[in-house]
Amino acid sequence: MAFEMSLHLTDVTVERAGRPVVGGVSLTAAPGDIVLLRGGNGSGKTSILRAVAELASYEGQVVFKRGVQPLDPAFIRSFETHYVSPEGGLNPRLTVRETAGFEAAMEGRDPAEALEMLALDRAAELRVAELSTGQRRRLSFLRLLLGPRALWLLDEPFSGLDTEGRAVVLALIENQRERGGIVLLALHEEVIISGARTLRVEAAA
Amino acid sequence: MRRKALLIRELRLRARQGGWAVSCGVFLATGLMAPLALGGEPALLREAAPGALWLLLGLSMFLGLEGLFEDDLRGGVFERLILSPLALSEVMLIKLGAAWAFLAGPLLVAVPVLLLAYGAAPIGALAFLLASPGLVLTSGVVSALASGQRRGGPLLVFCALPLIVPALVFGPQAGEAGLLPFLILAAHSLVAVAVCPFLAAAAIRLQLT
Repeated sequence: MAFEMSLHLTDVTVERAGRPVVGGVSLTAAPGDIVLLRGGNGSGKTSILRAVAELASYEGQVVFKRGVQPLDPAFIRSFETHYVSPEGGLNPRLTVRETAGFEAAMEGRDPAEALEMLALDRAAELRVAELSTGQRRRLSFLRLLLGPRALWLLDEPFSGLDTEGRAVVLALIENQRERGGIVLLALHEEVIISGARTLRVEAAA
Repeated sequence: MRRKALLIRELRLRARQGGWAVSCGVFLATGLMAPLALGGEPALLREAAPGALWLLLGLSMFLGLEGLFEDDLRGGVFERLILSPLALSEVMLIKLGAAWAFLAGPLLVAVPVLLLAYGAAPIGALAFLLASPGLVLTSGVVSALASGQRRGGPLLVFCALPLIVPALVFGPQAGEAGLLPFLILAAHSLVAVAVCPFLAAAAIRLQLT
C-alpha cells in the first residue's frame, strides 16, 4: 500500500486568543516527505501542526491533494491524520491494556503485536498514571502502528525517550516514508533523520 | 465498533473517577441532615420534602459532574477523538450518556428512600428518572465550558443552576398536578438530548483552539 497524498500550506498564520502566534508559513510536502519544523520555544511549531489538523484557528490555506485533485479536508482529518501531542492523548485512569484496546477498536486492529514492538507488553496491567515518562510516550505512538494514515503530525516525538525508544520512533518514521506517507515533526532538539527537510519557524512579530 | 469502544472506555472512567459516589453521598448526607435544620415536625417535613430534595438533587448532580472532561482535555484525548471518524457531538453524547448512567443510577435508589423517610410519596423518583437526562446534559454543557478553568466546580454550580429551573419548578409538583409535571420534565430531557451534545462539542472546540 502506498499513499499518494500531498500537503500544501500557503501563507498560514496561526492565531491564539486573537493574536498571531506564527505568521506566513508556506510549505509543500509530497508523498514520502519528512519535514522538520525547527525553532526555539514559543516559535509556533506546535501551532502549525495544530493548524494542519484544524485544532487551531488560522488564516491562509491548508490544502490536501492527490496528484492535482484537491481532497476533502474533513475526510483527511477524520481518516488520514495522526496527531501525537506531548500529552499523547492518554487518560491516567486507564491501564495500558485498556488504552490499547480502545485505540485498537478505533483503528480496527489487534494491539498485541504493536504493544510488543513498543516494549509495553509487560506493563500492560499498569495504569497510565503509573508509567514512566518514556513509557507514556511509547504508548502514545501506539496508534501510529495500529492505523495506517497518510499524514503524521508529531509534536516533539523524541522528548523523554531513551536511545532505544528513539530508535523505535525513527523506524516508525522511516516506515511511514517508505509507504509514501508525510511526516511533519515539531522539534527543538538535534535529531538526525535521513532524507528530512528542515523548515525554520519564527514567532510572529 | 468505535462507538462501543468509546462507551466502554467512558463507563470505565466514570466508575473509576467516582463522581457517582460523590453525588449520591452528598445527596444522602444533606438529605438526612436537612430534617435537623427544619425541625422534626412530620407534617412540615412532608410538605418540605419535594422542594428541598429537588434542590439537593440538582446540587449533588453538579458536584458529581465536576471533572468530567478535565482529564481528557489535559491529556490531549479530545485532539485524538477529533481526528477520528466519530463526530465530536457524537463523542459528547456518548460521554454524557455514560455520565448519566453512573450519576442517575445510584440516585434512583437514594431518592425514593429519602422521599419515604420524609413521609412523602415515592412517585417523585419517577419524575427524577424523567428529569435526570436533562439535568446531566445541561450541566454537562456548562461542565465542558468550565473544563479549562481551575475551580471549575463552584463555577459549574453557579452557571448551571439557572438552566435546571424547569426541573426545580415541575419536579416537586410530581404526584400533585397529574400528568403535566412528568410531561414537562420528559420534554426538558428530550430537548436537552437533541441540543446539548452539539453545544458541549462546541464548548470543547472552543477550549482547544
